[in-house]
Amino acid sequence: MIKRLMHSLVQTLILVIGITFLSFTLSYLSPGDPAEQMLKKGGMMVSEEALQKKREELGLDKPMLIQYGIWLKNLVKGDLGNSYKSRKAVAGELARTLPNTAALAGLSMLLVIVIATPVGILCAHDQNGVFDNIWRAVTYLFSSLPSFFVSLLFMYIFALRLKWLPVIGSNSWKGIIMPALVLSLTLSSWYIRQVRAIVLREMERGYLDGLRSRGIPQRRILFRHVLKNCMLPLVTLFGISLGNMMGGATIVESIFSWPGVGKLAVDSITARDYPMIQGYVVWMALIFLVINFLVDWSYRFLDPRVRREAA
Amino acid sequence: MKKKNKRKARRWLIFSLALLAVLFAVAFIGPSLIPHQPFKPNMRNALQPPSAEYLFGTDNLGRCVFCRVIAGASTSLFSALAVVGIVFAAGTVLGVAAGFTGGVLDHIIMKISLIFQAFPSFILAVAVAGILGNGLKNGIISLCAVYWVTYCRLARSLTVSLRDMPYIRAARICGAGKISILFKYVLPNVVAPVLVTAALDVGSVILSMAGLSFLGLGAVRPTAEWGAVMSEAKDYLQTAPWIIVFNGAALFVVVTIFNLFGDSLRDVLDTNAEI
Amino acid sequence: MIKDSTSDKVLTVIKDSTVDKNLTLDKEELLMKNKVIALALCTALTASALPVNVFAEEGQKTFTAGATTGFFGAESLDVAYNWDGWIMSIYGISENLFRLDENYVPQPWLAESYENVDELTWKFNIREGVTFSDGNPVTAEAVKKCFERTYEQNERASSTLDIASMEAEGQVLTIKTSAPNPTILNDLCDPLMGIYDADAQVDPELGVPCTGPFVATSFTAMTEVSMVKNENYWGGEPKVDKVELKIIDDTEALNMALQNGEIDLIAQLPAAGTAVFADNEDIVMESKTSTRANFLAYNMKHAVVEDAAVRKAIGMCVDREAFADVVYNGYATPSYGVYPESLPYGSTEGMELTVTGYDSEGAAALLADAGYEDTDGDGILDKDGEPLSLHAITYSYNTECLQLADMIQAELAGIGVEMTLETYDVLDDPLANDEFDLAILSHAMAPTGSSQYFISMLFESDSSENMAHYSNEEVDALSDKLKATFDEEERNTIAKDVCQQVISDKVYDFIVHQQLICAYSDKVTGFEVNPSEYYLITNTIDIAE
Repeated sequence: MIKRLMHSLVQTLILVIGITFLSFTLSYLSPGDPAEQMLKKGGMMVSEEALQKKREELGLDKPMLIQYGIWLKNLVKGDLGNSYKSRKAVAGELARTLPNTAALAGLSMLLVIVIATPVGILCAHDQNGVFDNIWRAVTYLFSSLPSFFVSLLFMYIFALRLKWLPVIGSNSWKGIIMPALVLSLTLSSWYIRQVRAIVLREMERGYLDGLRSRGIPQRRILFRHVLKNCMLPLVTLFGISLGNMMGGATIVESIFSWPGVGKLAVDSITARDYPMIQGYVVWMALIFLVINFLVDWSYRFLDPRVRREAA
Repeated sequence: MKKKNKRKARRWLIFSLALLAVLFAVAFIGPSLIPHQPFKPNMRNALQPPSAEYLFGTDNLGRCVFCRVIAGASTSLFSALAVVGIVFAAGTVLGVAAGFTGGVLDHIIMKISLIFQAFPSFILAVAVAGILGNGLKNGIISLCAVYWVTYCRLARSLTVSLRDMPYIRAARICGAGKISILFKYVLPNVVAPVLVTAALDVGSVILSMAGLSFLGLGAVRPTAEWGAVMSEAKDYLQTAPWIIVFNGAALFVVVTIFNLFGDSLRDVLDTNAEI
Repeated sequence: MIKDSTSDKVLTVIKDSTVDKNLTLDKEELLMKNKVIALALCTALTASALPVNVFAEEGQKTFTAGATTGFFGAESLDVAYNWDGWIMSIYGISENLFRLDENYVPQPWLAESYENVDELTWKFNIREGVTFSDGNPVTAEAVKKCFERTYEQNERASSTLDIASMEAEGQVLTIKTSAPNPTILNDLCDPLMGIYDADAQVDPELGVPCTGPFVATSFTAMTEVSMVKNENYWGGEPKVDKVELKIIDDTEALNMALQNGEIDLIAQLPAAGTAVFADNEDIVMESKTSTRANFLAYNMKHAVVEDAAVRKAIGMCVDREAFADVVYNGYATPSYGVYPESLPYGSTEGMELTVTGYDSEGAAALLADAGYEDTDGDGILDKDGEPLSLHAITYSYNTECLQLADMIQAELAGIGVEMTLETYDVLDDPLANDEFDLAILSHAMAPTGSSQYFISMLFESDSSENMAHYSNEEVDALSDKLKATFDEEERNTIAKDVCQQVISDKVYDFIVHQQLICAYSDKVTGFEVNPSEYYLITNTIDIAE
């Protein structure tokens, strides 16, 4: 057990190094001179000597790997440098916006679970029936529409025409509804298809023939046996969804002016704010990684087979 | 039941292939047949609603929206196919190499793919495109950086599972060389499922590319790429909704056709597949 | 064992719908790929626990305004930093010694009166009883310290107003200029000369304490600012309790937010929005001819635009009338000169113009005469083996500039000139680093009413914003003469002479002069559009419940 934990910790550590190195390389390759960016104070010219001194101070004259080491050391201390744009600490800006994105992603995920899971199960139950076909069409529609288009459509209908919801996300609690709805709808269409497939596959298993032959009704088989066995694969879908969700949030957040990390990232990109972009990428990847690490371990305890093997 | 499904799937495949043919014809022959110049402003004709002359109306600079949609088709198709083509080729080669040779190479390739996978997909694309700067080429590169992992890992899994198949063991015992086993027995069996994945991905790549362009990270002016055009047309959502609606519809139609094609291709090639 | 588990099949679900490929995944892969509910639940729980900002409080009047980055985008709340003083003046945070009225005439503001002792010496009486928001009194000494800090921090200051020395005594500030300065009052209206408490520690978020009707309570660079009224405001208690200003670069979201009542005012409404509000009875649209122009600046350090024929040809390719009528929906006037006609030195009468109208065929002929032809058949003209291909930059949020870029790009492509375009939120860096051949810009040309402002900023050889590297000895000489001339009529003549030079040299090409448009809810009262763009939020703004 301990050995397994150690092994998985080592694996994660290797990943952490890989992730940070990739993130570092990305901004190492980015154009622009950080020393100049830091020294240049509105309208003032910077002397070449001052630049040179700052470069040495920042270690920019050292080889790439050493620079990576310095950067990593600062990262561990929670120092991701300062934004070129706002001149504030990158870590602070991320910490300020992250709760908003977490709220948005959490609510969307909740909606996805509430909408998609029952629909997917019912579609499988009604395989090739009317209900199934209608939802197949609906999911096709939403998975073929870009989220920004859906966002604008919703904005037009729910904000402008019906005046139910605000256009600007950050003004009141109502502001979260539309972005969450858009995020969950685009994800739901994918999710429903997955749930349906998982349930159908489970229904084809041999043991069900045994149950059927014993005269147990189809409905009971579905809810008693099939669903129970589907829980694990369903659960794995959430992890995959979360990545999609965080990515999708970039577009939706910027359209609805929702003050989350996604909007921060897009704004930083247009402003060529490289430390901010880098901080965003590395944070997102590390958060994703930590969650996955925890998830892998909780998974062991959810699946009796894995648990038995571990023991 | 199964057989009937398969026949149905084959019919869908033929249907979607026909649609694809039309699509490609429109994208590659269309631009030479369109009645107006897609890029030349005609200011006195700005923001005209759809009419007989301008089927989809005109945009803020008086350009024919219909012509621009057609001119943009090849950009969307080309970039999506380029991404899928590149990741298909690179992913398969890397994955098969990893799975077939095993050992250190396998370890390294898998670790690298894991690292890429650790980044939420669209976030990695946005970051890569953000660092490289805007432009269609950079958009393609950033999407490749995201999508290759899927193909590499799929190809590797398939290769590993094939490696120990009895018929391959038999071939080995009969003295077949590594190279010939690879090309005769492994590759052909790997390519088909990976190809299905590729077909299924085209739609999502087109959407991702449009998303990047919408954020200003993909195609740049004067390209009439749909995502970029819609990003601008949103300023006219109330006064000239036809610009964004027709571009959105084009995007929707193309993605649906590719999804249809991908799904039916999978159903035909793989009886186990559901959805 | 794991190989048979139900889960591994789902694990092959990658990205899209490729479910179910009876694959066998090895253990390690399984471990890495499994992701579980815990995380989803975690997020859901955090979500429900998180507070979402609710701004509106009972019984308080809140005024909310929105604009794009160009109008509201400050990097800090430090008057001396870059252009932020300008934005702070718009916000209603900082104030100057003088304020421009509607006709660009300086009126006393924090200065009560002044005395022109001799050509070089000016005495200003600072208004009694005014305090900074930190409670310190505004004395002549405080103003002196403030200017000293600004001059040390911002290079633009010395080119705005050349001060030789300052003396402070009680409420009297004496400024000696190094040369006679007829426009000193106008110069003192420049928000860079805004008055703040230089003795106070600069707050990293809230900047410097000023004297205006509103005081910032929270500030997020280039995003939003929240302010409360300054209870002790010397000019009378502000009518609203709180002001929220938001940057929304998506113009349609901005329009909808006003239609929806989420914001009360759009400052500097992008022209596309005028059509939206034209028939809306609940929205008031008010516009004033400003001195803001859309113009082209060529980088004279770059060979591709060195040839005056090329610059002239590009100028001929721009359909200014159509741009003003269509893109600006009529809220702009085409320009073939330099300054807007509304200014006393703005008329082009009697001047020799280089471009007089849209003529793309003429432009093609001009380039052909200048020796440009497409020798390698790639559709792009070339000369001496160099293709006529230029790199243009403009603001990513300025839809009018972007459309101008689109027009020029297409027109140029038509005559065989290639133009690539890159857009930025902040153009300072690419401009300063010469990363452009052609910049498509938008600037207020005479915000202080003085012709000297723009001449000193862009046209003089060593001016601070001369990113085009424009250098014309005659312009420099005229500018020096203008600086020493007090007679208004003579000044206008000199300014016109400078314009003639600028028109002939074609390093800058002015396309249209815009109007400043503000759209606001009919609940808003006490608001007035000031054409100088220096002012927006005042103590008189009120909003009906």
